[in-house]
Amino acid sequence: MTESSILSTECPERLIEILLVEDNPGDVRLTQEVLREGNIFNHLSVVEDGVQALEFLQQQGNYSHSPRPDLILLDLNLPRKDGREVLAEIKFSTHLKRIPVIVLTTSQSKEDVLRAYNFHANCYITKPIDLEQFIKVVRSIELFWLTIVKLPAE
Amino acid sequence: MADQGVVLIVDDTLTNLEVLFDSLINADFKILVAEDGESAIDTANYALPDLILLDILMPDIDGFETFRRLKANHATADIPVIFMTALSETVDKVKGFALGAVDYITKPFQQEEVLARVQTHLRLRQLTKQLQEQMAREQAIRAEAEAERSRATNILESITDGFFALDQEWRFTYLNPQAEPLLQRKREDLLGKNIWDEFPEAIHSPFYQKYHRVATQQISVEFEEFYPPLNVWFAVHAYPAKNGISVYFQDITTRRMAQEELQRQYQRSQLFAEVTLEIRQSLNLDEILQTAVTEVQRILQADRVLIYQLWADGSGSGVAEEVLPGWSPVLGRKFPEEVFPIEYREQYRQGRVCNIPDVTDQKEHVPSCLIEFVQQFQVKAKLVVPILIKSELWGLLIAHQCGAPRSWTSFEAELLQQLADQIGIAITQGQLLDQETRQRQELGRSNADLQQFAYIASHDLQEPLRMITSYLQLLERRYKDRLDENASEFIGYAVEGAARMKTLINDLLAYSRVGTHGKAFEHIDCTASVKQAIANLKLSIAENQATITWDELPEVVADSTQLTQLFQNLISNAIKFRSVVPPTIHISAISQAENWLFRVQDNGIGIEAQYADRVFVIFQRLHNRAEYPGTGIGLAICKKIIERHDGTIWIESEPGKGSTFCFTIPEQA
Repeated sequence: MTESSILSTECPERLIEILLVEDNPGDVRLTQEVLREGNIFNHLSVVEDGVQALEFLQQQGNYSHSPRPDLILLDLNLPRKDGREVLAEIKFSTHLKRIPVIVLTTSQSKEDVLRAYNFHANCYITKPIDLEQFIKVVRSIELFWLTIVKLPAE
Repeated sequence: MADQGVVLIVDDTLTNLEVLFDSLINADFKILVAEDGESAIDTANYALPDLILLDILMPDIDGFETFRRLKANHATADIPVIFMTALSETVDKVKGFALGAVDYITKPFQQEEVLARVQTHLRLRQLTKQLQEQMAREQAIRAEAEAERSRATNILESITDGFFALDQEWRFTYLNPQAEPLLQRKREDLLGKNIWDEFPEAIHSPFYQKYHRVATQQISVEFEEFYPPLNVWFAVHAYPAKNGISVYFQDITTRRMAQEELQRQYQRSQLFAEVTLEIRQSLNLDEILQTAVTEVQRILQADRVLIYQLWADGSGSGVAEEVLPGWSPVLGRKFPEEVFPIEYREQYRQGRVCNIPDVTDQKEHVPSCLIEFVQQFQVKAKLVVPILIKSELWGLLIAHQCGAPRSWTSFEAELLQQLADQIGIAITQGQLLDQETRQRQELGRSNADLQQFAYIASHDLQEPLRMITSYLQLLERRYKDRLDENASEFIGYAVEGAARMKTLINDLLAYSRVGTHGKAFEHIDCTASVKQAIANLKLSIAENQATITWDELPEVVADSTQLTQLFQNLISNAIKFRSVVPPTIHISAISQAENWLFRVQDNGIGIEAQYADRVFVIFQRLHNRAEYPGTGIGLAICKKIIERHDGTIWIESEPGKGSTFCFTIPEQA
């Protein structure tokens, strides 16, 4: 089966909602660009720190009308509230814990990897330096998480 | 200075012998040395030294066994023995004392301590000898007198002993001439008088009981007793006689006093050894000082014992004190410079001992500023000795008598000085420990900094690099058609630069991790490490048709990962700097001066001697990047690994003749 055939059979009817938690505007833009080049019909929301991320997810403050994401791309080193804490709060919340969280970070440290999985991250990816590699990573995420994987309805 | 005495040092470690030899020979001791127990026993038996310093840990027969044999031999039984032991072995010290050692000293040796202890015990030994000689003399005199008594008929008139006879009514019937000076009375005054009327103080004394025993039980008695009114010690032989009793007696005050003084000195020396043990068992400064004042107070029975620390500006304060109830404490009070002015401090620095039996005595010239102090704290007598550290005045050890004036004996002054020396040594050790603890903490901090750096390198430094690379590539990707060849080339260089930067950062990280992420050392077979390194380099070895051989390699105590990394870096370095012929690399190891010396020899291009050290410096490159790629981290990591294993690494090489990398690893970690 080719990639396009998967997409044609499994393509969801509604927009895929993705939340990107990332404080580096360069990274945000890069992710937006690469997702835009892809084939998945998605909507990307961006928050810049951990506090905003949790407000977004709990539909509080400025985010009272935010959509519930199907997938979260989470950086670890964030201002105000750290990505590790955000991950823990998501995974300890009965309401949010089913949302897949992909830790996408520059950190290569073993401790970070171990800790992320201990807090039930769904996968841990180190951002590649090379653009081609990065594009491959984003395509893989799209292919696996947004097409192959059957996500929970709510 | 005359010879201080003969000291036999017994130690199987040559360096210890040298240290002790040097410190004692400088103080004018005659030194004999023995390197094992057997020869120590022979030497002691032949030379009869005044003192033996005996190491506990020795091969064949150890210090304790040597000690037992010395004590079992009549000739050497009386020679005092000081054990030498490591600081931590309290069990040994206790065992040593239990066996009858007079003292111990701890390794590493403190010169002043060794000297102080050796001098103390030699002095004690001398006193003991004198006393024994004196007793022998007295005995000889007495034997002579006895002999004469049996010869002469008018013996009683001529003997050196005093003699008197008492009748049944306790009246003097006869006194010989020698009795007069001994009893300090005239014969004619006593004859016919009742002894208990003339010496009424004797009624409630052992004299009374003993003489009555002779009279009632008709037995002879022998005893030594002090008679306070005359302030004399008597040795008495009393015999029953037909009409009463006969009494021979002599004045043994001198011998008794000497014996008692010796006894006192012995007890105090034992105390001194105990106190020293107490003081030196702790490395905590406050504890040391408090133990010292408590113990000194106990020994001297002084009303107040104070350790006074002098500060750089001449002022000072009490830092530890033991004071009997009823007298004001001095502790915590800060005193101005005037209390111990500079000239006094200088005198103390030179070892002055200040011994004032009565501070109100005008002859003592107590300075007026001190009189006020002395009155405030009710001081009547004081004894002050300096506490020196490395010949500098650290402070003073002070004993006060508050109730009444007190004549401090020279022995007390000496004892106090010896304890002050011990306190000085203990403080030095405490300070050393403090310093070491501080250094350890600093090392811990700097290690933590390094860890932090490693995290920054693995995360924060990567981020901007990724931005540079990714956006340059995005630029190229999106605008390829609109860019000319120059622009693509420029982007190429920029991307390559960023990639190199990433390699450098990763190398730096690997370098820093040698120190911070090392594993525990274990016994490693070097052959296994070499084989693992070769397996890791399989591709490169095949590509270059390299041949690697090795001799039998030893087992070492090392970090296994780092040892493999070391061989791997050295082999890959040899392959990289190969000549035109296929590389051959040989690894060998020999034992040399408690180290394993490894050699990794190749037939590569070699380097000039002037660059020999630079190859181990991080990021130093001797060749251009196109010819020999790499950042120049491999050998720097080798050096760091070897340093972590307490070894050294160097290169022996000539251009065109190959290189040999040599490194050492201690045989026993």
